[in-house]
Amino acid sequence: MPEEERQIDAARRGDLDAFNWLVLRYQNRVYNLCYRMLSDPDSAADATQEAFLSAWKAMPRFKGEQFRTWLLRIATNGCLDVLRSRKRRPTQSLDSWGPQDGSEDALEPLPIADLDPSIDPEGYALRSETVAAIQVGLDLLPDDQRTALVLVDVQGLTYEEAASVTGANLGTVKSRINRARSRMRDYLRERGIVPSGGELSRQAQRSISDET
Amino acid sequence: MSKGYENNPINGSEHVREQLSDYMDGLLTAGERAAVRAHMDGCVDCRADYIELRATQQALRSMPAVAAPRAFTLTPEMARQARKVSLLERIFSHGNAPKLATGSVVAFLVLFLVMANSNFTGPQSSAALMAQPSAKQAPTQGLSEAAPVSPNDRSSESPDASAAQAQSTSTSAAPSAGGSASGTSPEEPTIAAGAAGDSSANSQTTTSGLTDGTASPPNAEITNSENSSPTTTTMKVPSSEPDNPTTTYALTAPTSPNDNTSPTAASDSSTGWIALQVGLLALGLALAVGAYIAWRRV
Repeated sequence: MPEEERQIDAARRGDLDAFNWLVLRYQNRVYNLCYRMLSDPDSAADATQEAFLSAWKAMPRFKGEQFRTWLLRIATNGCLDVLRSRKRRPTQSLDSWGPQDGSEDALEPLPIADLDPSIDPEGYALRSETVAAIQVGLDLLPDDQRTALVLVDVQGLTYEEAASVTGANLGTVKSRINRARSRMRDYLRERGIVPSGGELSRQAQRSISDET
Repeated sequence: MSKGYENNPINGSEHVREQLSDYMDGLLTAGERAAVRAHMDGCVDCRADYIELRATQQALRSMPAVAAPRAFTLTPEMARQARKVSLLERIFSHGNAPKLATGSVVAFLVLFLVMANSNFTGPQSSAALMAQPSAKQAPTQGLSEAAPVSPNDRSSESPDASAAQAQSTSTSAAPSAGGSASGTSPEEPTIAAGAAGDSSANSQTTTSGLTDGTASPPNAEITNSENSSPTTTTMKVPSSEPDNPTTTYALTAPTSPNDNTSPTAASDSSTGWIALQVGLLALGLALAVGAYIAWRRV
């Protein structure tokens, strides 16, 4: 996209309008990342603004990589800083983040019918309670696993991009994703968001043995 | 979930739990893929795992995108504030690392020379000290113009110059000073010093604003010109001074040798001598650390 490259080049040379063009282009993506990482709209907005300020500051030194990756790396590091500072001040964190109002409901088991693995993922929308429950599940993951899972499965980045954003190597990203999915799976199954695969699996087994 | 896992050896193949995530993302080789699929055909548990894992991924992928609540564009004011860099950040910027390192090397060099001199001949031969670094710094200009200028300076400035040996060495120092700028004798030491500190001049200018280290070179000048009588020691000590302002740390270094040596006679000079060495050591170390810090910053 030559237009974007032109704007990036201008922004590097200190053109604020060009930079703001980039802000408008990427703010939804950055905000979404921050929102899934911090699970709180206000913190996410702060982190997003902070990320763009940092990006503006570092803009003259930007070179030779995907702008999106570079920007998401700044945002991710900012979110991780916020998460770390929350852990240092646990009293404050209880008010400002984590399980929001109504999260108790979200922890209740949800109807299994809410999610059917045979349905195309793009073809249906999750119910809001399900979304809230998944967000709580993300919050329960260790920071590095949550980061990897948000980047790859929620944001749709490739493993390579996620590795570049987090500064980890590919193998590390893979194993973080692996562990994060397992934990998430357990969490969602306990709440009935993900159906227990056992019955489906056994049905499939029966049909196989019936055929033979 | 692990129930029956152990006593369910299907096809004699191992369970593929660990590979399911990669399998899902198509990260396995063709052979591995086939093996996983073959295993899952017979293994209820691994298939169940896979079904759940797929559902988990779908749930995550279906997380709705949230719209940014507002525009995050920067105002000119925000942009200006963000770009403001503190003085410290500017000093320890990545680009300054070579200058800081050079300053450190110079400080250690001077320290080495000071120590070498104090060991052999004591404080008195200070002129030699000054001679060496300056000669080192400006060898080219010094040689040609050395002869005519130096004898004059010598005589007018320090009639009671200590040792013959010191004098001989100091003549080599003087030329470089005279060659570099003015011919007036009282200023000579400072000029020579300036030449000595030249290599670190850049870092000097950037850092000097931070502390009152800048105040010391002028002081040194004044004391020199006023009491022309004291031995070459007096002049020598200030001469090494301009190196000191290079850092922000070594606050003690610029002031203490000055106070000790210049106003009083050579009797106090040994303490000043030690202070100078300690100061130079601290300066050199501080600059080295500073250079390292600056280097690490990107």
